[in-house]
Amino acid sequence: MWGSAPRDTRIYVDGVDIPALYHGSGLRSVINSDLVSSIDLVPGAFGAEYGRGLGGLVRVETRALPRGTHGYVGADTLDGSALVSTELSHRARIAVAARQSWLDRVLAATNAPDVGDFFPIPRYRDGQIKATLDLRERETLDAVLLGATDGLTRTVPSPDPASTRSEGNHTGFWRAYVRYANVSENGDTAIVTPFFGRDSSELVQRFGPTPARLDVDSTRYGVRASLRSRLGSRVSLTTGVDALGSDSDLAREGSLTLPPREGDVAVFGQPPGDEYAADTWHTNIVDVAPHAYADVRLGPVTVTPGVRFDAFLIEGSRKTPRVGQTPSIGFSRLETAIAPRLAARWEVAPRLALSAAYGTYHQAPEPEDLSPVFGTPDLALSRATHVTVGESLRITPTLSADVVAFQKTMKDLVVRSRLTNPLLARALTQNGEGRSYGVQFLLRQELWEGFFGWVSYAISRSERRFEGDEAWRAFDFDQPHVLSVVASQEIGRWAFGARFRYASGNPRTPVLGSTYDARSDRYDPVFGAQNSIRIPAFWQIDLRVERSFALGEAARLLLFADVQNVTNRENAEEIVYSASFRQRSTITSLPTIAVVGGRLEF
Amino acid sequence: MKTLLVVALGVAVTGFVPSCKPDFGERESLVDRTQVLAVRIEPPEAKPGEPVTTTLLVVSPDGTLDAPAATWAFCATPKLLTENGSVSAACLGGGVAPIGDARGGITAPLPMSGCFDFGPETQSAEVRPRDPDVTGGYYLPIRAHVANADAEPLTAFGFARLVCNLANAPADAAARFRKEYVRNANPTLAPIEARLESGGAIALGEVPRGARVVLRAAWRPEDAETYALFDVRSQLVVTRRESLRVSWFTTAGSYDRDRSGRTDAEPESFTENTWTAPSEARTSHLSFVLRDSRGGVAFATATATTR
Repeated sequence: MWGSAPRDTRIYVDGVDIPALYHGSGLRSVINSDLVSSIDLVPGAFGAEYGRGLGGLVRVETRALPRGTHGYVGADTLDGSALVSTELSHRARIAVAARQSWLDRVLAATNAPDVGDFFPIPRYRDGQIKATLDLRERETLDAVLLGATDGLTRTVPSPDPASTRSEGNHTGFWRAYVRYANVSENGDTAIVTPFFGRDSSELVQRFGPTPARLDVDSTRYGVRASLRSRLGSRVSLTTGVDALGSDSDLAREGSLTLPPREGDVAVFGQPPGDEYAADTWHTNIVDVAPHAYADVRLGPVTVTPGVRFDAFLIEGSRKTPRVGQTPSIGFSRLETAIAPRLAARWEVAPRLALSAAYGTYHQAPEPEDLSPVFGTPDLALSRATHVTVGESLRITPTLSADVVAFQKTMKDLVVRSRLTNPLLARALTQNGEGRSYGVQFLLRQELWEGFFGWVSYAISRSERRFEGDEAWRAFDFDQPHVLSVVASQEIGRWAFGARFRYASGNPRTPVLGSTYDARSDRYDPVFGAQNSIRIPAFWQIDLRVERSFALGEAARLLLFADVQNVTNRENAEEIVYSASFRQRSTITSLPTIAVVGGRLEF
Repeated sequence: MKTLLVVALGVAVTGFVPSCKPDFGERESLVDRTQVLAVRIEPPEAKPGEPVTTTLLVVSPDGTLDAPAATWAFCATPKLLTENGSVSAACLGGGVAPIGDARGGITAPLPMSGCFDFGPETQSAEVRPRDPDVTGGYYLPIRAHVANADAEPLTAFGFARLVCNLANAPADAAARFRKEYVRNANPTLAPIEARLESGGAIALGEVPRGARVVLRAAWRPEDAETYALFDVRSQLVVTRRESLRVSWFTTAGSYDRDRSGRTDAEPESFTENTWTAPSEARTSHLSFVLRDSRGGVAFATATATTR
């Protein structure tokens, strides 16, 4: 997302926030793709309707349910899934979908059991129910229930009590929401979406004698409402409110350095420090954000000025670490932020448009960071400014080329304290600064005589530094070059697809030597300049072929084969070292894998 | 209603999925260069100002170095919250308080600032006390730069466990802790026992080539000490028992495991490992380092001759 941290990107389904779009493996989305009508990826400079994130935005819109009864049942190497959609009455429709993974069991049955030692394959499942009631013409009511879980557990036993490792990671969420939409005869549109749900995550790790645990249970609730009004032939105004509450119970124990943070200097597989701390705390973060924006058409130019006002109520149960049974002193404060947004588009010619956008963005601290032991209860908002300038050229009716340049600056990022003697309840500070800039190119061919595809390339740089430092360092997730080429061709009942991906490797800190820790009987790395080397670049070619078979008039069978990494390239996933740090190598990704599956559609 | 025909093909062409794990071919138990294997501190736990004596175990492929020369220093810089290792990177450079040069080991009083720099005590209530390890311990790193004839000096850190006041503990828990806590003592390693995997006892001076020899490292039952611990989760003083582990080293042949030991729940006071003797006639130098979970150390060496 244009140099932003993954956690700084917000994901919305029909305007309702969810914690992740993909299951932990990254192989499947948490929502059945047959229930999705559009996915809108906005890496930066998004409008006033959305906020709370310094990075990008992913908007998913669920599909309007069709008339009649439709669905599918499918299975492949990764998982099995099914969807059925039916009409309950002339005005009411419902769809139910579910997915269950079994890749972990497939891999366990192969001759690669130690794959899971480095890349454990989580078990995942998800389910969705959507019901639509047509109240009147141009007035609908949707009720949606979404849920997904991911889980993995692994243990690497050892006769040495200090070497036994175990890990368990379980995450899940569900959301229930009702979406009321009304489009009046004059085109005014009102949408109200109240929602409620829960997020949970449980991380348990043990490196020898030192346990690490982080449990987070959050109740999330809120409402998103908007009214779009036409104020004339050239102006429309959208006003709305975006409210989200997050009430969280948290428990953590272990070392401060586990889980790691962006900017930590460590190598893959390095045990955390053996310091041990523990804390339980409660947070309540409520953000109410009224916002407004207008679309003003001035001939070939459309200007969209907007503003968003966020009022964050940040509460916590504990301002200082617990001491015995002494009652804790909590905290409550209000943080406010005004976020102006501006976008403009100039239709220079029928096929050529120029665009620009600007916005400021704010993000509340994570509940995990508000611990008086592991974090800082007094954390305030982090801030970012996004600027984009772009051009869009329609070469043919179905072929377009887009280029956009971007710049993001970030301030008040949460980082670890650098003090030799950190202050009490100040393990984290807001001395982080960031910047990213680059250009993204996209050449896209929409469906034309059975062919579609695109070429996307981004060149960028993302850097971070501690406030006051002269030098910037590469961001942990910095990828200067990312190229993707996708092509698909239908020929009769056959379809062929190909994908090529190239990406720079993430930065890593080199190890120059080692010292011997005689208490733990292990070597500690001696590091060079932070993030001054990279994992080798990644590239991969994937192919797909599918064949459909008609089964009567209303059903068809689809068989497909996906061949991932057809060149059997050994892509480096991570840099690893021998126990003494005298040797360096890489963990490589999976080689050629064929996924074969089938799907019956009706 | 249409009839559903479930067609589920879950065929993976995965017969060629290999391991993704790099094999460095490096055994931690094999001494193929000059290495520091242990830094023993006597007593292993002391108050700031009390003297401690360090002893090095340094081994090369030719055997144990007798009284190796080393330059000693107390680490004087606590590690930052951003540092994942055992010591601050500053302690590799100038962030130390020099002790001096000595052969084999050195005696020096622990710095008076130990509990402030590396322990839970603070000069101000505004400062965050440092976190203990899971045994409740705080450790002062002692750096040894060991002269190495072949290459760069070796850098190793021993750790003296500090006797400090409890931080952020209620008064009753602090009082009980002071009353019940017993300082750690170094464990004692009994003479290593050897027997052939296939049969009876064997002398290490008479090992058949390629033989599999079961080695037993034992300690006194009381070496797995019980100790009082202030549990930061429950905010109560509880009792724990030490775990013990043995690191096995050899200059030739190979062990089945690099380390083995007993958890705090296991009552046995020994651990075994199998050493496969080299297939040629030669002398192998074996080293054994016993560590308890509070930083106590004992070590022993032996010579095995294959014939």
